Amino acid sequence: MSRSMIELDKVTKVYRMGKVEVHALRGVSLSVDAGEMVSIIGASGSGKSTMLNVIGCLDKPTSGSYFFEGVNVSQLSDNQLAEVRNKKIGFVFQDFNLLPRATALSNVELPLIYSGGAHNRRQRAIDSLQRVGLSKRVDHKPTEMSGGEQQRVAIARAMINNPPIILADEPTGNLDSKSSADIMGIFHDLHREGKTIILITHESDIAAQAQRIVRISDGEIVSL
Amino acid sequence: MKFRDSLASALKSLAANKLRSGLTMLGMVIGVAAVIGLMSIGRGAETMITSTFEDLGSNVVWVQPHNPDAPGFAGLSPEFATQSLTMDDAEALADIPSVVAVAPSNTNYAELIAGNKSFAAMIEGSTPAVQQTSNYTLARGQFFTDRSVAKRDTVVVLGDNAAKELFGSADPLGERIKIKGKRFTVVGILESKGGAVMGINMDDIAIIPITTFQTKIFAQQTTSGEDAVESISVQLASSDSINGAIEDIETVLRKRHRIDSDEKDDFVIVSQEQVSSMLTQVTGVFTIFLGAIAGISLLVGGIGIMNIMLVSVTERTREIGIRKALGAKRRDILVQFLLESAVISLVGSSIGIVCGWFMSRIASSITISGTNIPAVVAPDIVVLAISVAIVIGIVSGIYPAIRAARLNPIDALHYG
Repeated sequence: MSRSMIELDKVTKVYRMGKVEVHALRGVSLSVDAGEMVSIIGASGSGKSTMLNVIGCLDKPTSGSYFFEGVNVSQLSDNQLAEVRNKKIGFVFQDFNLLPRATALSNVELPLIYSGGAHNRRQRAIDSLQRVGLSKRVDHKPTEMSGGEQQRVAIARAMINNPPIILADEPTGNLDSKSSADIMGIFHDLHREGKTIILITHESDIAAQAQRIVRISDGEIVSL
Repeated sequence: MKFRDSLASALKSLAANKLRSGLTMLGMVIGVAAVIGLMSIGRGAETMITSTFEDLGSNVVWVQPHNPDAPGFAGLSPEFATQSLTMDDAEALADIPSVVAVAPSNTNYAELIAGNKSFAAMIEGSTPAVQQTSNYTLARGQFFTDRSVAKRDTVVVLGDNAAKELFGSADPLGERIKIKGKRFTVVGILESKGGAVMGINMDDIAIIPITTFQTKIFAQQTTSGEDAVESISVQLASSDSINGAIEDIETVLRKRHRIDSDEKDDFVIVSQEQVSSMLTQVTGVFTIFLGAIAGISLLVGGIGIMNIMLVSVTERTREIGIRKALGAKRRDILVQFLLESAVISLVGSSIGIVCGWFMSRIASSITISGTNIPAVVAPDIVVLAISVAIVIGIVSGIYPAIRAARLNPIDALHYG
């Protein structure tokens, strides 16, 4: 049997907050094939962000298994996880998470710095910015750009290493409807190019743009 | 991550907070400057003392009266010491084979008066041999002769500064001066020696025949009624013969003073090496002490770096999270923060070296009462200061850097 790109099997995640145990995920099983565009929708506190952290190799599951491209993530070292994040996953966050003092160009270059040995870093960053329509904003700092522009810089950064999968955590949460539409347009383009897109949101109209909607509530998947 | 990129991002974040980086650096600058400046001054003091003792004459031992019953150094003090040495003792020492020159010497202070000018000088009563044992060189005129010593002539050889103070630019040769009411004729002027030994400027001196000193200026007798000698300088042929010569001197003097074998000496023999090595030891301790005090400020500078780096790690938690999410490994974060503290301590200590060098230059350009400390920034001091600075820089940077590297990417991303 050929494995899917992402396979979660009875994944649980328990956080310890002082003396209280928080069960963020209670046995989640999900598989996403390469090239799919999937929305994960749920109220805040439902566990959808935790799920994104696990899928994004930012966090390891407490129990259960997670296979990413056939590799058991639980068995990877911190350094190997960093490498997976660097080369295989492009992150897009709700609040952009750009380095405030760095220019758009430096922000986009950042993943290349950590993948080592990349030549023509600058040119690749410029190309990536061009793809999201920001070729005129190369030397601007995040504070000099609108929210939509900042999110486009973030997408350019996510794309720079040409990862097979884009993980977006409420990418339109802080944007007006015009910018939201622009951003979603870019995601659709990327999807058409064959990228796997996983979109986390609580807005049903955004979620509806995906091929598949996964609904999560209290750490469990309620509908696939 | 390449080193160049790590360095670039370290420099960028230092530049983003110029005032803070500068102030942190200042702690390092002051620390390193203090270590280098103070230690080079201490080292200069050592050099000064060693060289002034070499100026006093080489291969010289001094014989002085000593009260065997008085405790410790008190036995050397004139209050306790019995006047045990005489001119005959000095002559007897001259017969020892390894001895080249013997100069008995008495010293005291008195006012020199020439016309309406007066000058407080150190009066030394001695023989012509003192030129050899004390390295006196004549600039003009001549030294008084052994005949003058025998005849108790009232002639005087003036030190460079004493001559200038009394006669200005006029020629003092043949002029008369008064010492304690007695008239003396100036027969010679010494060349300037520069420097001072134990606060006595060697150019503020007036040398007269020791017999004149003993009988006409400061009379002093031994218990047996002979004219007393305060100190005998004995110059030896070579430094190898010093230990043997000290034994010979002891034998001769014990015999002459009729000291039984179970009795202690009524004199002490001090070699130039003993005195200068003792003083070098003292100034060496002084140098280390200065360095240690300066080292404390270096330590404080290091704590400043650690403090700022810890604040910086907390402030930049989110940045660390972003970097980690984008694929930064622990090592990348560690190196970045370590480099920031390394740059602070390296640049700080480089500026500190320059400041320390200026400190020592200023110190060595100052002359106080003829004393000048030739402070020199020695390479070993610089190496010491830099290695301490680097160690402190790394030690103070490593803990904050480890804290940064250990941050969990999710916690870091959602911080603040």
